[in-house]
Amino acid sequence: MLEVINLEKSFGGIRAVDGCTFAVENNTITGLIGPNGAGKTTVFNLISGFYSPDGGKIVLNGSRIDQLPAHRVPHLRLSRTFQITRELGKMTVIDNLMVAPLDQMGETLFNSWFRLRSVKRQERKIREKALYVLDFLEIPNLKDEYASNLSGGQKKLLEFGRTMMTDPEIILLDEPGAGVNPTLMKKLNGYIERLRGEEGVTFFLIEHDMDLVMKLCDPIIVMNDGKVLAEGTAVEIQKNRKVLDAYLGG
Amino acid sequence: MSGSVGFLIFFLTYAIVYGILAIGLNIQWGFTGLVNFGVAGFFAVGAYVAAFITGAPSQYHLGGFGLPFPVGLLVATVVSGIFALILGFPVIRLREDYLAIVTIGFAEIVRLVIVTERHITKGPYGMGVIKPYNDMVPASFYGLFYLGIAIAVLLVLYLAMERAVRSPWGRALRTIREDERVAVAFGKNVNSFKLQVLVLGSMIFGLAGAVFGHFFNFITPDHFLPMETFLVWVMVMAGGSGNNLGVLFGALAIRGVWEGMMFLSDVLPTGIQIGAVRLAVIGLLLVLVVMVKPEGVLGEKKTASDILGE
Ligand SMILES: Nc1ncnc2c1ncn2[C@@H]1O[C@H](COP(=O)(O)OP(=O)(O)O)[C@@H](O)[C@H]1O
Ligand SMILES: [Mg+2]
Repeated sequence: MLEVINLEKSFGGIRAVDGCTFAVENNTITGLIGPNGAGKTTVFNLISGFYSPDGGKIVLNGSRIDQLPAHRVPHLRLSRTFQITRELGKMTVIDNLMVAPLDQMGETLFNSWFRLRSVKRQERKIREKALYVLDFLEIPNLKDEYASNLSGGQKKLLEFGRTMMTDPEIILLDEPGAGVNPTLMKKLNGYIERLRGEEGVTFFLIEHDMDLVMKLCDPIIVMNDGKVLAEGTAVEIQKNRKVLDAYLGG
Repeated sequence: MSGSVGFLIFFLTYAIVYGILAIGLNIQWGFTGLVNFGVAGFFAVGAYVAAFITGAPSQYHLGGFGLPFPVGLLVATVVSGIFALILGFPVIRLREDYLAIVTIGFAEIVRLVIVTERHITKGPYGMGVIKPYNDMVPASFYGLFYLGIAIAVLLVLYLAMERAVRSPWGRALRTIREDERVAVAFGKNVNSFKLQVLVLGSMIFGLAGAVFGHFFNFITPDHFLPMETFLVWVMVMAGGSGNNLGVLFGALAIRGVWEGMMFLSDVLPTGIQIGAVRLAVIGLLLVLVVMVKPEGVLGEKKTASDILGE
């Protein structure tokens, strides 16, 4: 479904992504792990169009997406979260969710002036969905809170919730678990597995919590120094000599 | 009509002109975070274009075309928008400070063109502007009549802009202001939204110019100094960025202080320049508001989109 071929990206002298090649197969929960600074987040930024690559190709469902403007990528039903949460601070939690859906007809001036009834009809559906997401994330009481007042973990949930609003085929999660309490994290995992099972959503996620990755992800891709170090099932990765060296050697 | 009522009418009409300007800047800065330091330039374009359109034919300036007042309003609005489009198209995708620089430059160029191109604008001598529907209204009621026109324009504008900013369109603007990358990650064409807002806001400045010219009936380049831009910014920031009612209040209050200070010239010792004093007072007011209530007197409404009324 998603293929990355010889991907390269440098910042000044740093080769953050240095010839990465891998594929994320349809309907998997693929993990991306590696030491800090390995280039994982940069890979996400390249795939989602936030950076343009210095070299290589990114192919989604058979077509190249690496030359697209970033705002077009979500329309190909690829959604992402940010490692460092990006909440809309001076907007309420529910507004943070309601802005997420793509192709809202009320997002043109013409429609908001002259087609208010249809806009309202769509808006009602979006609102219902947002309320469902809030219930699901167990934060319905935060609905009208300014997002800037949320705790770190709650902001992470909001990031996750926003992707739920867009009906994507593939979701890129950058450390979704950081700061989220373990019980809720279990529920999130359950949800990830359910979405994959029932709706065929593909997940590509970066995570530091090894237990979680080993349980949830198959396959797992390991990055180090901008390169793919290993690829395989949890068991294979755990036995891989190079992976152990990379983690222990820092 | 008695002197003080006449003054009140004059004051209110003038305040409405600034109210229109403030609503234009509010959509750009208050909702979207665009920095436009060239408000006076678009204001001037609107005033002069409208004057050309509605004025009687003259060999001393462009036009006049003798067309009806509403046509003047419309063309002034559209031409200001076209200027914004030409200006914004190359700049909007760059970092935000470029827009600030380009709009400052634009406003100064507009003013200098008005000063120097005398065969078009009559230059520094200024241009007369007609009193619309003058022949249909008794002279003693004309001020009140024109105030009515100004109120009608403001009301339509206010309702249209409220509808726009309280819709999903407005919610997308707030998203862009809070974090452009989030807007992009959720498929919003940020450059397109910003360009729309730059053009729309600048059209509103043009409209304000047209209303101003036909109210004052005489326009010179000195009506469009950078100071005007500064005043509108103060109105928006002090009144409440992101709240259309707030910025209207700001316009009324700042105009009030501005005019009120004129009466001080009698009490101030001779030699003190009232112009400088009132500028200092306005600046001080802004500092005070920002310190006590950073979001302005009336802050932004909490909910972005409330078309469902919940
Ligand atoms: N925008 C940027 N500008 C400069 N350097 C960057 C930028 N983004 C990432 N880097 C550098 O690229 C390398 C990889 O970073 P990153 O992709 O964030 O790693 P990871 O997510 O695996 O921890 C690091 O050395 C980081 O400092
Ligand atoms: Mg990272």
